[in-house]
Amino acid sequence: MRYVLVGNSIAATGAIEAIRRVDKDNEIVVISDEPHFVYTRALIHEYLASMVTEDMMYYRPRDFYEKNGVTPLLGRKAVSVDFEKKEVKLEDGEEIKYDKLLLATGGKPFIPPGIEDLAKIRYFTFTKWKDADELREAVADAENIVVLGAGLIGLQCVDGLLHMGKRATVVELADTILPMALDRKASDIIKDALEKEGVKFYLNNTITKVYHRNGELKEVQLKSGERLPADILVIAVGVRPRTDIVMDTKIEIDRGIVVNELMETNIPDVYAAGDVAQGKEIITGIKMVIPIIPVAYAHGKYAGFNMAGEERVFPGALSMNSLQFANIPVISYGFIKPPEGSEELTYFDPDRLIYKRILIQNDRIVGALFLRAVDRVGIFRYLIERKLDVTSFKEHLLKDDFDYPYLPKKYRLEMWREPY
Amino acid sequence: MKVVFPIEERCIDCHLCEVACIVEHSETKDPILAYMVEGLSFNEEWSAFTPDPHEALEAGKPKPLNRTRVRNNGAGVSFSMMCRHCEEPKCVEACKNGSLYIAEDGRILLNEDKCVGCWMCIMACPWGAISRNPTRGNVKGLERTAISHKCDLCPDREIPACVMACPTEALIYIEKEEIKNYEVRFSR
Ligand SMILES: Cc1cc2nc3c(=O)[nH]c(=O)nc-3n(C[C@H](O)[C@H](O)[C@H](O)COP(=O)(O)OP(=O)(O)OC[C@H]3O[C@@H](n4cnc5c(N)ncnc54)[C@H](O)[C@@H]3O)c2cc1C
Repeated sequence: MRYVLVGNSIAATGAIEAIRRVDKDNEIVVISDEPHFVYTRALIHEYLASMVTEDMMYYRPRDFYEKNGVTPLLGRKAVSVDFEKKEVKLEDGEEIKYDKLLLATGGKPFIPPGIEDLAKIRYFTFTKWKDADELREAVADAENIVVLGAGLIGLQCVDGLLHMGKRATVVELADTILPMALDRKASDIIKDALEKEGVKFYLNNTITKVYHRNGELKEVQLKSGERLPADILVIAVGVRPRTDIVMDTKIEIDRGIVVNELMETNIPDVYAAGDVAQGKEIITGIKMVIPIIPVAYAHGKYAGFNMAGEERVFPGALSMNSLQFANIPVISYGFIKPPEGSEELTYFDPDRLIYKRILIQNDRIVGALFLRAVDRVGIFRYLIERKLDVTSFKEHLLKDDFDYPYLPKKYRLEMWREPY
Repeated sequence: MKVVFPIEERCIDCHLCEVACIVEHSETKDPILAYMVEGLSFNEEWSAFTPDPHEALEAGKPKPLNRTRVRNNGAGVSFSMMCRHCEEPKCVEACKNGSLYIAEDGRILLNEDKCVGCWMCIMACPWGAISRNPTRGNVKGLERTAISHKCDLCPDREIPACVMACPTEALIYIEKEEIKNYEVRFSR
């Protein structure tokens, strides 16, 4: 019996740790085209600016593979899977047999079509360790850096650049920054703060053409008509599930690889988890790709238990983000855009610079956002995930000290009784 | 595994658990020195002032370093809550770089030299049991770098300091499995 995991990141780690809780003996093989020991890509911006050490990038202690009986095949790319023969084929020709397969191949940067002459220049993406190394070298004597995309990855890249003493110009299609994580008000606050640090934003805009001399980038053309000087272009408009190795197979792919509540794909003994997987979302029950660390880990964990034979039903994933730009922490959960028929509770204190917003639909919280006042906000995750009726304590939700004592005692009794 | 469990019916909102926690984790473990010299104190004094522990420090407010916190609804319900040391810890699952981990004995601990203060754990923990420690930080060049702060069940003690300090036995040290069957005998 052999478990094979393609991808060596957050989801794969969740799976390894869960498999080993159930099955201490059988072989686990982990394949990754990246040469690194398991690391976190969520710190490459701080690594870019040498703000964190390499040691801080590693996601697990260095004896992790050894301790967990994992055979790592690193720096080796999987190119296809034969579901009949139950084999993963590597680029170097080797075939790896599996009994249970986990596809944890994550995401790949999306390159928007319609940028004229993009193929003629060298541009950068920002999702891997190697990308940070390459960008650091390239920006050393760059004056004008343009980042396309004001999502988490784009802005983290900008933040790293700021700490290297570099300024960047950001071009974003939406009319707010961080549209997946922040509402307009929070977005405006963060945008103002970043502008004060020297970042320039072009919102409602995009790049339509690049100008170069002998392949060397000189300028970018914006949809709005302006032309910006540019030596470096970073494209960070988002990631898409990296489904290439199973592309022309019978596996069900919608946006990502579709999984059921046991993290199984439609192919027997094949599971998927993390940024590549499209699994159940907890509020709506709809299957979505939610590319964040806690979801990747949870997907991997549930896949691991099920692969090892301990049946565990995945309750669904909640989208959530914890961001920090210009010394302003923000934590948000669930819906950002108010769903139809929802009620919005807001609190804004300009003196302490606190902003909170809660979305309620059918008496349940379906979205919550906290700017600066982030202590103990995890209770909102609890309320959202348990779908608890908040009517009886709604007036307290925005208070500074809102916490479990404000809940009806009945809820607390349930809470203590839960397994955790 | 044993954890600290709050009995809300017995809590008198005295905050002695916070004091005990602060002193136990202070450099000197002496209440007078911890408060007067090390400048420690519980959350209330700074959180009323600002949501940012760094701003509190800069304004000369006491250092917010208690790892348990009395939560109160202002209408007679209070209890002290800290890390539950979950079997499947949400904080560990969300931690960006593996700074939070499950120790061999089941405790959830923080590698204080690795934490980058991204607050993914604060986001993830449904109990609100993780706070920010502004007196330490590992990210170079960041103006306000801090690390996470949480209950470690007092490694130098057999019974955690908060449990020993609680005058009304509103904090008990109990096997996780026994919590659901625990019956409160002296309620208020
Ligand atoms: C710059 C950046 C910042 C981020 N910040 C945050 C954050 O603050 N909070 C948060 O929650 N999330 C953040 N994310 C998202 C988070 O990193 C992802 O959700 C998470 O890494 C997903 O884990 P995963 O295991 O699904 O896949 P990935 O981490 O994408 O790993 C997949 C691995 O599989 C390998 N692979 C793919 N195909 C093959 C193949 N054919 N053969 C061999 N190997 C293959 C890849 O090279 C990669 O190593 C960030 C992402 C980026 C890029």
